This record gives sequence, C-alpha cells and structure tokens, in this order.
Amino acid sequence: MNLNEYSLIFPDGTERPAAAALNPQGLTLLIFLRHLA
Amino acid sequence: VQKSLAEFEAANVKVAVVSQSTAKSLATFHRWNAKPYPILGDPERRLYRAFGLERTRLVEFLKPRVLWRYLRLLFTGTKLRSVYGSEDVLQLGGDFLLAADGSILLGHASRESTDRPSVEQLLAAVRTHR
Repeated sequence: MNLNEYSLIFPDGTERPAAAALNPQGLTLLIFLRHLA
Repeated sequence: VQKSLAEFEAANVKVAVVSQSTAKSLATFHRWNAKPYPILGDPERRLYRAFGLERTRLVEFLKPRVLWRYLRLLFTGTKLRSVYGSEDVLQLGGDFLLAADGSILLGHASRESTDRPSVEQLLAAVRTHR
C-alpha cells in the first residue's frame, strides 16, 4: 500500500500524506479508532 | 496501549492514532484532551477502507460477548460518551504495525466493536520484527 496516496489531518490542522505519520527510523503502530470519544 | 506507551517507545515504535474526525473536531478534542501521541483525522475514511476496516451492524452490539465487554468497561470506570460530530458509530477500528516503508508487518482489523489485540500481542509482534 502506498500511504502517499492517502492524506490525513495532523494535530496542527494541516493535511499531509499519511506516510508522514510513519516513523522513518523504526516501526509505527497505527491504531484506527472506532470513534474519538 | 496508552498505559504501555513507554514500552513501545523503548522499542523505537511510534504510536499514531487515526480517527474519523474532521479538523474542527480534532482541534476541539486536542484542546481538552492532550495526548502523548498524534491523533490524526481521516473524515472521509479513505484510509480506513484502504486498510480493510468495515462497518459493523447494530445487532452485533447485542451479542453476549460484546455486551459483557462493555459491561466490564463500565464496571471498571470507563465512561461511555456520545460520538463527535458526524462520526459513524458503526465504524470498526483496527491495529497495524508498519515498517518505515509503510509495509504492514501485523494487521488486525476488528471483527466487532470490542475486538482488539492485547498489548502483549502487539509487543510480541514488535519484538519479532525489530
């Protein structure tokens, strides 16, 4: 899967490629919530 | 995972959380709920679908196993809250361990609302792929 094809809203309010959420020097645990509450 | 964050960080694992929230909902949430990991928004749920995360059905909440887990959460002090804005209460979550290039090392798409891997299972996967 190419995460650059998907975008996410980051905590600073900017929209960036999902790949930017990855740890470039290690592993990333990506947790998808059911909902925020 | 939040309680075990130090263990993940010690293993050089970044924890990031994806929600179906809009930028506005996220801004409100961050104002009142500072978290030690990034919470990201995917309001159109394109990434949810890309990772194969589906919607559940209302009837699934009536299964004894699911009801029991919610009751246990309530008994242990967890407060059930209404969802933010336009979030879909039937959306299921999931947990994915990714390499630096985005390849999926461990994938767990929830089959029902309380179906999540344990922290021990996630840390075991980290040790396997470190």
